[in-house]
Amino acid sequence: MERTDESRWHEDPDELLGIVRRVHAEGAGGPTPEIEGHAHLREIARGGQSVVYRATETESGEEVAVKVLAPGALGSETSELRFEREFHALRTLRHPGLVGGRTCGRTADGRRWLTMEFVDGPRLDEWAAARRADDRPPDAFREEALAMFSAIARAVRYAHQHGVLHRDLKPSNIRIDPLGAPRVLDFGIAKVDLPADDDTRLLTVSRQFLGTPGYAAPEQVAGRLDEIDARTDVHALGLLLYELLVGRPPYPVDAGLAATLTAIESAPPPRPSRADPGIDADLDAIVLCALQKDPADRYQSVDALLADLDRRRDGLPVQAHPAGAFYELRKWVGRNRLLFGLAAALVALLASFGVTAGVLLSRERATRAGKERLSDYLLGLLLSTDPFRSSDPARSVDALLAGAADRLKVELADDPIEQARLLNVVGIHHRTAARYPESEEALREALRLRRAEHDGDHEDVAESLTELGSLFLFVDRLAEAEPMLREALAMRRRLHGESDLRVAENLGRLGHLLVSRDERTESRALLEEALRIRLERLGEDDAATVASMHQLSQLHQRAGDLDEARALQERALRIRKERGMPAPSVAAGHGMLGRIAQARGDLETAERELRRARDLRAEALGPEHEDVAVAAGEHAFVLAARGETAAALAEAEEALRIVRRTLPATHPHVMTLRVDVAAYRARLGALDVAEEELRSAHAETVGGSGRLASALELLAVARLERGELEAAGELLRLALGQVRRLRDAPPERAAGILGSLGWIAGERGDPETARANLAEAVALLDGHEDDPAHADFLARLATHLRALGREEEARRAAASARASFEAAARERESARWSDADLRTRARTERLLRELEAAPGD
Amino acid sequence: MTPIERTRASLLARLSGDADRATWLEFFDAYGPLVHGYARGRGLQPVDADDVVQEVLLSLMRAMPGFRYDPARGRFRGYLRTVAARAISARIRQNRPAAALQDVELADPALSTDDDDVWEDEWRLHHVRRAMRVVESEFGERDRLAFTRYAVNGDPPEQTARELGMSIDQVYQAKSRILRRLSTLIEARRRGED
Repeated sequence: MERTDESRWHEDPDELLGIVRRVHAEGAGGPTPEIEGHAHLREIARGGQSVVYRATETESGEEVAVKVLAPGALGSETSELRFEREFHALRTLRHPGLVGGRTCGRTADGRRWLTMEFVDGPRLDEWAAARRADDRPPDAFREEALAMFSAIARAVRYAHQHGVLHRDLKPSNIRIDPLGAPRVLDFGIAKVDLPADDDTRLLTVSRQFLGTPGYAAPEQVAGRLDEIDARTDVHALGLLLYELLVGRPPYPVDAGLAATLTAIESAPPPRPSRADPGIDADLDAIVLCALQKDPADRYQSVDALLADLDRRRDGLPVQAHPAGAFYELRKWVGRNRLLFGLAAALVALLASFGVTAGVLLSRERATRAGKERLSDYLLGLLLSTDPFRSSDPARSVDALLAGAADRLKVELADDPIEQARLLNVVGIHHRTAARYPESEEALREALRLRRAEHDGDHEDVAESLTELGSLFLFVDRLAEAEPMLREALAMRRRLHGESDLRVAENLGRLGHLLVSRDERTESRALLEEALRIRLERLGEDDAATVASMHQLSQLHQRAGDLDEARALQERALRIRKERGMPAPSVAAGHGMLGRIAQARGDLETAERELRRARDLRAEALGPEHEDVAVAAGEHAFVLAARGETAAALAEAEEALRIVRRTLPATHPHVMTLRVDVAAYRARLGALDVAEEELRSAHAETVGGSGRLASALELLAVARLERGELEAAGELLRLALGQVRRLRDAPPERAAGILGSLGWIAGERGDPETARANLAEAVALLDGHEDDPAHADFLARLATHLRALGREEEARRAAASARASFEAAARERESARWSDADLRTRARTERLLRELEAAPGD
Repeated sequence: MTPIERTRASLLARLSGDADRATWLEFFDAYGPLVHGYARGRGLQPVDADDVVQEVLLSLMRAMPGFRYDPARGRFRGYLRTVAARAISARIRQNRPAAALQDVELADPALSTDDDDVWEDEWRLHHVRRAMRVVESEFGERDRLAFTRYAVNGDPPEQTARELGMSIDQVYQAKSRILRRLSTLIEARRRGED
């Protein structure tokens, strides 16, 4: 079985050692370390880089906190030195709000440790929750929280004035002592934890946030460690202040690490007053100023932040001025167009949309620029729900769209260009959400408006043609899709030249269409051209390039070039993973690898890959999404191939229920699942139900379906096992009809069915039909003389010919059968002959001897 | 073989393999830290992660007898993850009552990829943890200390050798022997798994 390098991690000493180090760090199964001069160690906290114990300092009898760093947490010898130096600098800090270091050393097995004063009190967030819960007016709590915050900020300011940054301020690093004063822990330690010269620092940063990702600054998230300075702590203080005032952090912290980090990097900071209307505009402004993404836009020091808080308390105008909401939004949309796809950004957008759309419309109604911006805005919003997406944001956007789109239609009645643009976006969005009729309506209207507006070639028209054509492609209306996609391709070539990325898009879609039609030569040329353009213009690491690789790999898979298909797909999957591409895209890669493995007969790999594809999709898109159902259907198919029919049936039935909701009964996705469900039922013995479904599927299909043919054959086998020869024959004839309609089914396929029909006719005492079927089967296998099936058919044919009294023909057939057996014997080892084949061979020899013994005419 | 037989042979059922059943205690011992680590990786506090381990155990037990605990099959791994992910999400929701912003529940397209990494990461830690436990019983203390100091902590081999009273060569050997043993142990467990 093939394995990727990644799965051999345990054979790579460095990789393995890295994990050993981490296991070692968590002290799994290991004893509590011995810390010189300290007793009674009890673990109180555990992080990725360290374990913290409470202990008694033997000499003084005082309680201390001992932090034991993970081996490797310091990286190199240089950072060891820096650790010592910084630790000693830390010891010189004396401030009532700071918990400084006391001593440091190394354990017997070489781990670094340091001790700090132990503060017996709640964490800042625990304190705030308790105080907030007290039955008091919110304003009173707010002022108390502000006083607490100022005390914390003053401690941080003191450290800054002595040249020490914290860099990891968060509620768990702040304890409220029994006298009600805040104590900031872990000063400076974060800094030594992160050697700035480490190439893997981004990784290190992310790792570090695994426990509490919500409190990093954008420059930390982005790995711009050289930008970390006092303003990084200002950002963290802003987060603390927001959380103190509102009761929870400003960015979602439960949406996963990636979402949180992205929100920190790109979501506009929400104003605290949105969560708590009692918060005044000045406080809003102060928090927002501290939370600016660009350090240059923040308070430049903790001192400036404290000064503004004082001004607000004293009723003076604050320095932080809220820019207009409209200005902010525009600035933000402009900056973050590329990040729109990320959920955190969408959250913020949705939250601000209700207000903002109205503002935009009333203020900017008259100007084209304003409307364009608004369309851009919606465009970004909606495209952010394209292509690989959760159904959740799509639904949220729907709600948004229902109101906004109607209003915009009215607003834009006099402006068909903008209206078309908007309709195009709406259409794409509906298409993504599998609402095809709505999508078609919007896209058609957009195309109509654009054609009316532009004579001849225009990018808008080409775009509309592409999108509408793609819709038809998705719903398998290929005849309508093809002319549109061809027109769009030709138009874009004229407009933008041969090597434009938009041309590549059209090449890809048209290639995809031709793949579905099995027109391999042209589709291969188109897809290779699209890949070439994208490699040239975008490089290997782009999602569009990967999509091209995927399509080409699919083409190879269908053409049976499995090695080529796999190599290309593995390359695409590696890039997807390396670039952290969305789960459904990774899922598509696994799905294709599964299909390739299946085609090779490696069912174990196929099952694993297809299951992974399904699970990844379900997690990203929700369990009810059409794509999940399709993936589940494929997985079920492999389960069935492995003999787990009942499990396959359950999975396929559920998948069928889902696809039926959105797709027509003859759509390939639906048809495939209908056929599969029937086939599994047949295997489980429900022959009549299965037959009914397969017959209606047979009646409804226009082209041939290999899957349907297989299911009909399978049902025929089941009928045969019950001795129902006639019914089996009928089913096999239907299967033969399907196979004959297939564009390029291998001749063995039809020959096999004809051979079976011949066998059935023989059993039913109809040698003439048997002879005709077998003769046709033999003719189809012309050139496959070394196939035992060929020999077998000839042997049977000889028997029937003899029964019909055509002895000379029978002799020739038997002689050919012997030659065919001999050819087959040369091709394969005797061990691989089945008993049945050996018996047939012996019978042929006997038959031949009899025929030769008989007098010729 | 007749064509019919040929067709049938390819469709023949293969019954699912025979599983060796393990006790739930073994499950707890073996997979508790894995689930715990996964929950922590997803941002839960230690206490909550402990609860998640409990809940996962309970829901696996509830799924009995339909569910067969069979650590030798990859399917168990997927199943375990699904159950764990569900318990973690439930716990996260419970901890953070939806407020204005979070009413809009959105899934980050990158989330699952990220989550995959957390899971894969924990799975590797899980393997190494178990293998290290075996190694601890198989190797002498001096070898283990040499391994820890030289290979894990990155201490200079000369210093390690001096302080442990070994030759430098013995220090190198301790590292490579233990690493090789870990690799073999992990391979043996994985072979059944995927």
